[in-house]
Amino acid sequence: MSFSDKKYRYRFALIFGGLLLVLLILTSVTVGAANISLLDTLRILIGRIPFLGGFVSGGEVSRTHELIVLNIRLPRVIAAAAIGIGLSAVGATYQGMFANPMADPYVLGVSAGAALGASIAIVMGADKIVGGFGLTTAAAFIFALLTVFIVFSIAKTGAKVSNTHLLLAGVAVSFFASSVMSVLMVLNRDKVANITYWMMGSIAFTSWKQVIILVPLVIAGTIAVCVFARELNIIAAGEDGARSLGVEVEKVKKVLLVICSVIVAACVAVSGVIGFVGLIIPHTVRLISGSDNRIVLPFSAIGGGIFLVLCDTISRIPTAEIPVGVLTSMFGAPYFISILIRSKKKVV
Amino acid sequence: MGQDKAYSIEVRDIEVSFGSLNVLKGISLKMERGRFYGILGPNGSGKTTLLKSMARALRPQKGAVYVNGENVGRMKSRELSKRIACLHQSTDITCDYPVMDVVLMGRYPYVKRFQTEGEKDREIAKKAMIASNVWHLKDRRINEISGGERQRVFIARALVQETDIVLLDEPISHLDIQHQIEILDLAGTMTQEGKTIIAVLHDLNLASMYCDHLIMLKDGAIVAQGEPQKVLTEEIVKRVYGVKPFVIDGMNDNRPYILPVKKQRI
Repeated sequence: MSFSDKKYRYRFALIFGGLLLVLLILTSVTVGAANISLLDTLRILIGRIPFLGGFVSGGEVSRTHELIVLNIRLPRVIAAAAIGIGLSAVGATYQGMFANPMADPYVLGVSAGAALGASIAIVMGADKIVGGFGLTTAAAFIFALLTVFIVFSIAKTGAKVSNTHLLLAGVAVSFFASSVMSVLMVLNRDKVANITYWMMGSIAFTSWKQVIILVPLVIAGTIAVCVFARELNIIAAGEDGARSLGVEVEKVKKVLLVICSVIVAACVAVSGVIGFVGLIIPHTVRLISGSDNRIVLPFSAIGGGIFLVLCDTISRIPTAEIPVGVLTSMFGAPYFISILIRSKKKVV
Repeated sequence: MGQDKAYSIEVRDIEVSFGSLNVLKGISLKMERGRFYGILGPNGSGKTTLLKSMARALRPQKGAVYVNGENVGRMKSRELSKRIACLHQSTDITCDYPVMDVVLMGRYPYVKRFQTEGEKDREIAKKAMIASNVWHLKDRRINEISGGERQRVFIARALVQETDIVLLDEPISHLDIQHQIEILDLAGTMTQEGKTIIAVLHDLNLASMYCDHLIMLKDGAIVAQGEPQKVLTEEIVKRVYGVKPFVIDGMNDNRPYILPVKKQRI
């Protein structure tokens, strides 16, 4: 069946997925160390919505609980959704663009670059001063873009960029950034805990200040990426052919790379390095729907949001919280290995 | 500049080099509407480079290509893809799109951003797919069909672009004889509808049978061109390929037929 035959079915499924994500966010807010009931949580949330607030009596809900729900849990759950959406959409885009199922923000070194930028900001004490998060994000941005630029310059031959060179350059630059981060840690032993925790990938300390920067960037970026789905499809069916159809392949790739590094930088600045989301979610979507990017991109985004909110919720259940990045790797790596084994069987 | 609009496509003195290697050394060609042109020559003679220069898949260092008198180098990408369709040498395909979606990609230059292909586009696609005999494959996935079928799907995609000029880079190289004939027949029908077909071919005899005009390249220069009888002579084939052929005349509408001869027996 061709795409347009099923267009409305996909639209319906996408709306359903979006609703599921919202529902999951609301449920997730009720989970955590402080024992706050679902009813109280809902009361607190609805109480904050203008007009509707008047209908709920918020008297019995304690002020502490209100603070926990509104200022600790809600921002981190929203951040989890946004980061899941962003990383997964970027992973799907990279995979489409490089015709390489193993491509994701980590392979291209963008995550490591952003992480290095943020670490430098942390070492210099940016997290201690007012507006420090803004500085950390900005540093992550600059380094993510710088990484893309460096990786691109290494991989470029004339006006064209070969996929193999791009991926190899990404891996090399990624290792370099990680080693510089290790040096930073050795030299700044007092900040090791900060950087390490952050390198494991955690959204436990997300504040509203971070969320209001993160969410608009991720949403705008994801929509922008989805707009290029048709071009990505044509490029995936052969770059020479795409050019003769009037697709400006190099320009499309450049625009997508910039959008993607903006998304990755925004995510990494908040959460540090969270792995595998950009790899396993688009894979799963592709297994179900086929490789049409008009389907893969939006559904990967929603799926990534759902996946990370679930992981974040589970990470809060044990008494000592597990960084969510550790959790995604624990789920992601075995899944990834199973994909590898299955694809090996197909080849043989 | 007095570009001649009488010609469908005109190549004017183009030179292409990769590094220090001169691949095309000043090629000029004038091609008329509604004819079937074949580009021949040994490996490395610059056939594909010439075709790619015409399609603007690469930019010549010197000279220019004109379509109906307009310089191809200055056209917008979408505009160019409404004039010239190009079928590149088939490469491995990794995606799994339905055949119908692959053909509809040919409507890319006509469909605006934020829009999807409409009923009219689907009608055009259906017509092209019937013409290239792939309509029955429309719901199959592109990576599941045979090489010959895939080539016909990509021809349908080129048809859907609704261009006057169709460039084919070795369209029949990896196909069996039945599919080769099928594709060249299809290309022949396209010329009857007024399209100009320019194909890079390896098989001298099929080129002789189907093309109205042959262009023989060697080392980046044109050795001979004209109707098959003039180009496929014993002397020219021997000079270009270094193999002494046996030429049979009077086959298939008087087209020459080349029979290679074992070297030891010369």
